[in-house]
Amino acid sequence: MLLEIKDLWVHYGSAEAVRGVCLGVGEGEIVTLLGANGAGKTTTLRTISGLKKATSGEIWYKGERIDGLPAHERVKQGIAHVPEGRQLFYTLTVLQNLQMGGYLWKNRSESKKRLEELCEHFPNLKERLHHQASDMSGGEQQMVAVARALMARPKVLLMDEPSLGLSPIMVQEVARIVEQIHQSGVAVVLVEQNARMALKLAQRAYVLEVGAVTVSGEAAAISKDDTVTRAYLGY
Amino acid sequence: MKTGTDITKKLVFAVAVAVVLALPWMTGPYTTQLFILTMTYGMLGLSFAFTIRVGLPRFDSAAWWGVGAYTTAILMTKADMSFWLTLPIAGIVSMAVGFLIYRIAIPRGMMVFLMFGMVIALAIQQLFGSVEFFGGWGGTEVIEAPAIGGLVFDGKRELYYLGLGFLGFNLICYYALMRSRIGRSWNAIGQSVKLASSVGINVVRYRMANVLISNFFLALTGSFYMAFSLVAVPATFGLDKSLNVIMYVIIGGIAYSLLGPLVGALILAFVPEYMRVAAEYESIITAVVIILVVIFLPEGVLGWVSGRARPWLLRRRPWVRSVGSKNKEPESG
Amino acid sequence: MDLSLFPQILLNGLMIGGIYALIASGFTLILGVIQVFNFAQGQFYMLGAFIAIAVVTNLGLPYPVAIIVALLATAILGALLYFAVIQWTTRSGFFNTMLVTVAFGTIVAQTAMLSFGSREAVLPPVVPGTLSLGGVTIPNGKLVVIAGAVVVMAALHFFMKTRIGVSMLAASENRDVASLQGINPKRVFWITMAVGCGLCGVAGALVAPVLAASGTMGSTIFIKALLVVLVGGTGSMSGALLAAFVVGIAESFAFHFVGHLGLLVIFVLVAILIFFRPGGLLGKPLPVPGE
Repeated sequence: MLLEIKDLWVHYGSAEAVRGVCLGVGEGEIVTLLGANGAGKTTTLRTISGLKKATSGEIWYKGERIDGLPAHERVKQGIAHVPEGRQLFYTLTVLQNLQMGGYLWKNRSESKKRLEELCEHFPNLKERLHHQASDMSGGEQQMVAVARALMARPKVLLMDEPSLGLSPIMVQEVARIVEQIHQSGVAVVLVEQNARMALKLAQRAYVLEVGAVTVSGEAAAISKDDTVTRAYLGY
Repeated sequence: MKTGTDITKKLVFAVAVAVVLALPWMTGPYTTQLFILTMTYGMLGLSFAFTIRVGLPRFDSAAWWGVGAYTTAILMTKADMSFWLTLPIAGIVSMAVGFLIYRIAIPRGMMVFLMFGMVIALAIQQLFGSVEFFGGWGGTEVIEAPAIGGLVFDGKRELYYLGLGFLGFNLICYYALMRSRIGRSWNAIGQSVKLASSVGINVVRYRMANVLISNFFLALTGSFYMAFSLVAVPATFGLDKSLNVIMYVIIGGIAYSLLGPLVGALILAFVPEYMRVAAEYESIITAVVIILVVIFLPEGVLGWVSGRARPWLLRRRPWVRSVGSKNKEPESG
Repeated sequence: MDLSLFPQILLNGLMIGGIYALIASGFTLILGVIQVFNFAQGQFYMLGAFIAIAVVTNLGLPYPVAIIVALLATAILGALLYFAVIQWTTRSGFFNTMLVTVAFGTIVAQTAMLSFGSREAVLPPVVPGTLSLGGVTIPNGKLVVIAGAVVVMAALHFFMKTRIGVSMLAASENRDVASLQGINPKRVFWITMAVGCGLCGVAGALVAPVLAASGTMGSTIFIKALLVVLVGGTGSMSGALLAAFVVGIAESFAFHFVGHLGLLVIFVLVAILIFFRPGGLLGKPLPVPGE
């Protein structure tokens, strides 16, 4: 396993948000976390990327424990996080946002090369590089957020609700991009409200309920599981 | 059990009152003078702790203190008024001038209020110093000590009791205000401006009332200051004094709006006195102590003590929190 | 009114305006990025002046070297203020952190007074003589100050476009997301403190040959820098720049006509301005910490 989480507990004050979650992500795999609002999906992602400190439990990445590292060190290791609600730097331009994503490239030409590569994957970004990030539409902002995270050439990409609040066409576009990222060999941890799309994309899935994993397994099997389909796919 | 602690509590209180009343007879005139200063600074601290409860840190307390002192001095010398008559006038002048200035600052929020306060502190000092009417930078003097009938407040002991009277009046008023309905609205504002305005509290108006009341008491303290110093010099009422006032409150414990300023003033008045260091190093040491207190005892001396003392001795007043402290805990997903 | 004095007063206004611009933008930067109200700002200005004087008169080094020494010394001290104090107090709130900067400023000011003496000191003019422009004589020294301030502001402008500069803006907007890009917030914060305090040090070094340095010069200029920030709109860098020159020139004229009451006149003007334009000259909203 590339990324492995063992018995993770996270608290907000005295409230338990994550209760003993174990999960693993293989090299180049898409894994999805499903669950209702408040089930602890976002908190799990925030704990993996280091924005939130775990109360107890272990996070292993490439055979090393990383739960002691601060967030910016984990990015260096290759874990990128597209936070919920996009959260661009709205006072900066699109280009500056992407440059911040490539902050760890000390070498300017490296960063430029990566930027050009990404512009090919995200064709509509190219002509909008010098626009203010706040002037972009919701879908475009999501593209910028994903591209920004990819600037650092991560090995694992944590995506929190990338299709939230987007038009159906943009949701299709997001699915295409996730597929593309998968194709380039990056592992993806996908948190999604749109469970149908997530299960179609993912190889494996975990279902969280009130902070604990209740069901886990192959995505194809889970999409046939009665209780899950009734709860999250609305059959 | 309960009656037992009640008796102990009353006993402690009685002993404290007795000690405070007997102090001028137990110490020399120099120490009594220090206690008078402590009470003055303590009252300034009370006014600061009062506005901090609506989330407004004031950096101009010394300036309004000066307004009170100057009003009393000018009225006593130029209009030949009695000391007692100048008290309410000083308070009203301070409130009226304050109203004009804060009409601009308070609606603009905490940050503008704070910066405005610093500017006011400098501007009022400049006004006293550069206008001839106020006696210039040399200050203005009064000759007469306040008196009631045959009792003249000219000795240290008499002034000590006069100060106790002022301090008691301050404490009673502040306590009553905090317990009143308006006090509850102030607490709500202090906890969250957004929340308070969402339940229909007119934040600007309540803050204005709070600050003006604080202004009134600051001016009153200024008049008392004239009673024992008999001279008002602009340099006394500068920004550095306002900063000292804040130090008293922080050292005492910002959450203790009545006892905190008094304890802080007591510590900062007496500790340097007994440390016996050269005057040049005194302010450096005080500054270092303040940094250490903020880092290691962020709740002040009282906060530290109450964590250790029995709960009945010092009850924490939880309705005041430090301004701008952020409890930013993101929602769980 | 004596018209021949007009250019002189204007020049004085531009000069102090340039100094205000440096101090106010340093203050705004620190307030915006770290959300710290740095009260020690004025003391760093004083320190810069005294260091420049000491480098020139005691060490006999040329004036440009003195400016660089003053910049480095104050920047290092600013970073030290972050590491030794501010990083431990930001948790206990905006107000406590502000008080700690007050205390740190006192330590800096007192130490400076003990080591440099409390008497006023002034450097000999760096570029003596005057410049004659259309019948108006202008002392070269003041021109040097204005030029120096403009150069430093330009340098700051370009710095804010670099990788570090942009990361400062990013961290000021969203600290969490900035750290998700691999930006170390602590690093951004101490660099911000160093830049913000270094700006004051340079300002102090620049005025050393023109104005007499004294132990109290720091606190007065800080209040005036606050006036500038109020006029420019809290949190706006470009607003602070514009306001610095407006306040500088207004102050220069006010002092010429009414002497020491000038400050009161300025205060009333600023109060009126803020009454009608709450966001300051440029009318920007107030993105401020607290509340």
